Amino acid sequence: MIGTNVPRKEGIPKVTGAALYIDDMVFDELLHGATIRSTVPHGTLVDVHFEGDLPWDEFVVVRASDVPGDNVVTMIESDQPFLADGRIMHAGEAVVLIAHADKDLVARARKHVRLEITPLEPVLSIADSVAKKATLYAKDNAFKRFLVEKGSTKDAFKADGLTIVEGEYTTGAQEQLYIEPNGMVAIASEKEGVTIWGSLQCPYYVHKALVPLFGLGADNVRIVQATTGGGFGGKEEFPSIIAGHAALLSWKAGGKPVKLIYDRAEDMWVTTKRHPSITRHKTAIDAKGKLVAMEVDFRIDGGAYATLSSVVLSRGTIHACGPYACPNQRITAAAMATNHPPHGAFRGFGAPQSIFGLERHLDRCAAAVGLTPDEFRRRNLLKPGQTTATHQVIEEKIDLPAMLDLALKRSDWAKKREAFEVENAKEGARIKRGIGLASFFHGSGFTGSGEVYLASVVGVRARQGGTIEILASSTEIGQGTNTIFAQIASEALNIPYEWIQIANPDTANVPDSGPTVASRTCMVVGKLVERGCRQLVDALRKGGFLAGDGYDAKQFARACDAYIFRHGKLEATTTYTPPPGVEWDEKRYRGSAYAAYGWAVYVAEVSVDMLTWEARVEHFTAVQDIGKVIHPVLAAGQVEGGVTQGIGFALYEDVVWRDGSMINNQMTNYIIPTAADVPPIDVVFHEVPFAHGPSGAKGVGELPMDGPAPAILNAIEHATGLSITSLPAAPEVIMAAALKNAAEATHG
Amino acid sequence: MADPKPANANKAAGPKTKAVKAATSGSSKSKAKPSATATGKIPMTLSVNGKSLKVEAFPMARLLDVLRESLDLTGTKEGCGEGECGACSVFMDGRLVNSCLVPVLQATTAKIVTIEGVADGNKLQPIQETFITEGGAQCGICTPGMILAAIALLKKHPQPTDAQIREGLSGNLCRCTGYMKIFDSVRVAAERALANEGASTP
Amino acid sequence: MKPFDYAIAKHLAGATSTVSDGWTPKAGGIDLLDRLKERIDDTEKVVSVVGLKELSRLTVEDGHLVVGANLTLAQLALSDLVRKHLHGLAEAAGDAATPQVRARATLAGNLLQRPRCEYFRQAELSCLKRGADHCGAAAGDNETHALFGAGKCSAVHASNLAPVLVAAGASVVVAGTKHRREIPAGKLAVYDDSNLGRESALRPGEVMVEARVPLGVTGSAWREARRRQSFDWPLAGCAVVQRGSAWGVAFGGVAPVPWLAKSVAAALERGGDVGAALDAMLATAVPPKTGRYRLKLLRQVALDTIAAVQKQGAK
Repeated sequence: MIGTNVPRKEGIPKVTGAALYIDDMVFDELLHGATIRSTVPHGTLVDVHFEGDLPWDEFVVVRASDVPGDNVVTMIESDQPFLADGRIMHAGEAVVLIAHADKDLVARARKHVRLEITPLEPVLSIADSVAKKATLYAKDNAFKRFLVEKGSTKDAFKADGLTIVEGEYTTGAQEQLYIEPNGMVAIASEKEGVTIWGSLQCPYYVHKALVPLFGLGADNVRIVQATTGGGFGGKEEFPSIIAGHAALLSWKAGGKPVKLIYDRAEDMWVTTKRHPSITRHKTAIDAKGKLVAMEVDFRIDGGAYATLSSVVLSRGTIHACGPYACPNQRITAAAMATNHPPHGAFRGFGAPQSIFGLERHLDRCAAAVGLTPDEFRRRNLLKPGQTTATHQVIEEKIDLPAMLDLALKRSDWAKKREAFEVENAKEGARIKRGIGLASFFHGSGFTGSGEVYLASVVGVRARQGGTIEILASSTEIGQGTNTIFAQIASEALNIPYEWIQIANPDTANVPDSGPTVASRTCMVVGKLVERGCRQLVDALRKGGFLAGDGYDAKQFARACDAYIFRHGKLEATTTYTPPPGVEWDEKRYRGSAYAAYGWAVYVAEVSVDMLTWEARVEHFTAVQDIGKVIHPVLAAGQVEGGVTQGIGFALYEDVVWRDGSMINNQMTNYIIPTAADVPPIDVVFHEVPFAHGPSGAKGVGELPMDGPAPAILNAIEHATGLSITSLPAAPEVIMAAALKNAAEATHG
Repeated sequence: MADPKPANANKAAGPKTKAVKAATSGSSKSKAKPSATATGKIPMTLSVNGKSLKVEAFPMARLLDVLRESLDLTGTKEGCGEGECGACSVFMDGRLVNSCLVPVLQATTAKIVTIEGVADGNKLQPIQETFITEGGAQCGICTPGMILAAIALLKKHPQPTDAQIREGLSGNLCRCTGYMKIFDSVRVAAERALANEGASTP
Repeated sequence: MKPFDYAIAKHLAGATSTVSDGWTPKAGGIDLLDRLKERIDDTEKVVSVVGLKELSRLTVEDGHLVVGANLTLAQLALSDLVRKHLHGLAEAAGDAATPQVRARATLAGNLLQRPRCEYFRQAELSCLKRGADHCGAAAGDNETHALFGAGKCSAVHASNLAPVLVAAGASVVVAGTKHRREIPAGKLAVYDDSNLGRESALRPGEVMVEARVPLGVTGSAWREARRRQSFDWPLAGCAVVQRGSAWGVAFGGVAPVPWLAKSVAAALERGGDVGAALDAMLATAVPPKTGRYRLKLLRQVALDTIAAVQKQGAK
């Protein structure tokens, strides 16, 4: 069962059009909502004017003063209001909500609510935030700072005979661009409480945010996931706001259902994106090509409110020195406040940013000491028993040099590298080719003590006839949660896959198994599913319902029936406990940052048209260790999807800002890869089972997002000799680098 | 006769000015009192998935909205509303089009097929099966449009080359799969069709 | 979307009389529906011309290839007749947008589409064409704006079929209630600094009927550079048409109208230095701040297109 390609659980409704997404659900007496937003990035709200020849008395209108409980989005900090009242902190910030039964009328009316705002000086870059152009948060505009230190870089840099390489690397914002826009339907009233249906990743995040918004008891708020058309982090924290808005409108409308669906332009304008970043490196390498000291400064643009920036910063920080052994490492990091819409969760969660800087920098380090990129990495890759920047001793049985060799062999690295260099050197070669790599890791599950604090719970319930229901709040968002949970349960119970059913995430029916984020669903929650199933079998054995060592499905079914007949029900509940040896010191930011990591070596082959400056990825090789692979087709799908988003991040996806707003907020001008843009992707799993994962599995979701961008830009440098240090490497960026190179060459 | 045929007077001919007036019922009113937008809907018949269905709709309503809201055929999805993502693809007289860019009145003379009309009762088409077995469907929001695009592609090129697959699916965006598993789904469906052909014609 | 009055024209005469009453003609509706959805177009009366046989001709008569205004890009891309007599037009049609869009988008719609400038396309942003007091693109994101011929407005003409017709010396037949006339393809798109809303030579009440291309084309091609391989508009495009020893060259996506490159054509005709002619022409460009790189792009696209046509001639 584990390692086989069983059919996706919800496959049939998805291929017949029967699956119900939020906009497909039908409600009687439905009102359509809309959000009126600031168009200035920073200011003071003076007044709201309802203009135009519109029947305003027919509309439901909600402002901050209508909020029944706390007007604050409960997350890590409590600084973000559901509806702005007084200070405007970013363009796109919600100020007024309106609803009406006539959808066309709502669309027209939203253009006739005028917000009178006195503008204030906005802060629209990390540099301006650091320089305190305006004070937005605390005294220094920093939502969070981290310091990670091992050994002493200061002392290490003093030694003789070292090669020192410095560099700065920047990444821009990236939009998740799930194909289903965000949307929610709410029914809310004092009498009935609040019920939400929606497109979301984390039902209990929404629950946590809505309880204080209405000042209700936890039992009076219910969150139900509709079929969700992609998330990638974009439906992690933001849905709480949309759910709150829809519920506020419904509350004011006396409990009529209110639908709030964003169109594409609104979704791209106001919802979260990947944090823009700046990474600075200073690295010392000895004569043998060994890393002696690494200093990293990592900064991200958090946007206008704290939201999840501190945890995104944390993950980016911990991954900033990569899977390399180095005795002296020092990482400083800061998440800065700006007047951009808050940046948020996006697959990789800070790691793709810091790993981009690191892996680009290491190619430059290799060149500085006269080594090839592969040989330089081979000399420095972590081995079991060595430590990461946070002093975590690697106990997984990894063999990174073997993975590197495998990737080089699969991609025909050595031969291609040589052949490309010969071809590229020919006079007037218009198309230049290059090959580049990145080696990296990605921690599975929440950082540090995060999983202990989360204390996730999973329920397993047997029914008459031996069918099993898995109860968890982990959501199916396309990645295959339902399928792998059923496989894990089927394996643990030794009964057919078809007998396992996954309960729909509904906070009235399932326990809190934590959010569907951080590559944790398979490894952490899957392990709870496995344990719950084992507990169920134990209960059957202890009660004498199952005899002997083995049993078949029929015997299991009879045992369940007998148990339920005697006790009324058969259920097991399991709560997370950390694997042994996983300890974390939050104060010094030291210890086991993650119980396990995914490890990978990616190789990109590119061509660059030296006249049009277009770069294309021609072939991609992705070798990774994600532990035991539960479902090869789904796992490969995760890798290919992540690599393609990484190709977009590397070459195409550019959020264009103007006065704090994204102005290319349409699919026509925000460019993601199409079927015509993707190369063949060779996916290879180097399976090293992890002792504490379900059947040896770890996480896979985010890892593939981390490596493509640096591998591609390293390949572009190999092809052209141009060192691009910012993303995306669009034609104008490559051309600018070429012109700069040419100018420098002429000036000697 | 040089008359345009007004939308809501299918049978009535008559002077052009009058006909046009008839078509504009409610427009001057709707300016003064926008809530009067309900006027102007006209009855029409659509042929969808082999059935003849009567609806009332604004003539310029998007075919997408009429399918979803009036006919409860919600398998056709809206990803962008601008013809870029292909999630709203349907067949009109065998041609694959974006239903978000088709005014419903223009669809009244066409045979429309949506994703709901692809399977034969409970029996899935091979391309639907391969989207499940080969991993072509992940979150599923692009899947209905993608399957229709794949059907159009296989109709044109029963044994497509890689380049033909890429070109044929280039009007449908997917953010989950990186397209590889979708290509596989198309390839395997084509292979099975070829094998079946071989089996039936010895 | 706001409610509309909608009529279906049954004859060309019905269409012209309705259009002369102020109705907006619609064929595929690709661009019009997009503008209506974004509420940047106030049209309240729409007449469909999609079924008109008079607009759907594809034939050779009187020494001309006749291409109906209603033919879809998919039809043009696949037509043997078009490929034979003006290969570049089939190439341009096949390059545009996506298969779904090409199934509905028409020749007339492509030629008369309004600019893709995002300041024009988004009701929230400032655009002179929509009556704002300033142009948001002037100080904003204008990478894809005009390299040549900009005035107060620097949005480019986005059609990739128009430059092919211009380079081919084609003309466009339009009809009003009581007249028909031919407009040279090079005069169809208009940039009028004093009336930015006017973008074509069609007079109120006129409907495009067909394009007419004189026979005798011995080679033709369209090439364009864009950011991704599907669904994008050209950053720079070039049409080249050869008629024996005579050449026509027109650029697309780089000026408010298809931009005729006479000096380049002249260099080709006299066997001169085409690269130098291109360079001289590019030296007259006034590119937007972030769009300078497109000059190099355009140069290369032009050379590629010329090479493609020369290769056809060599066969």
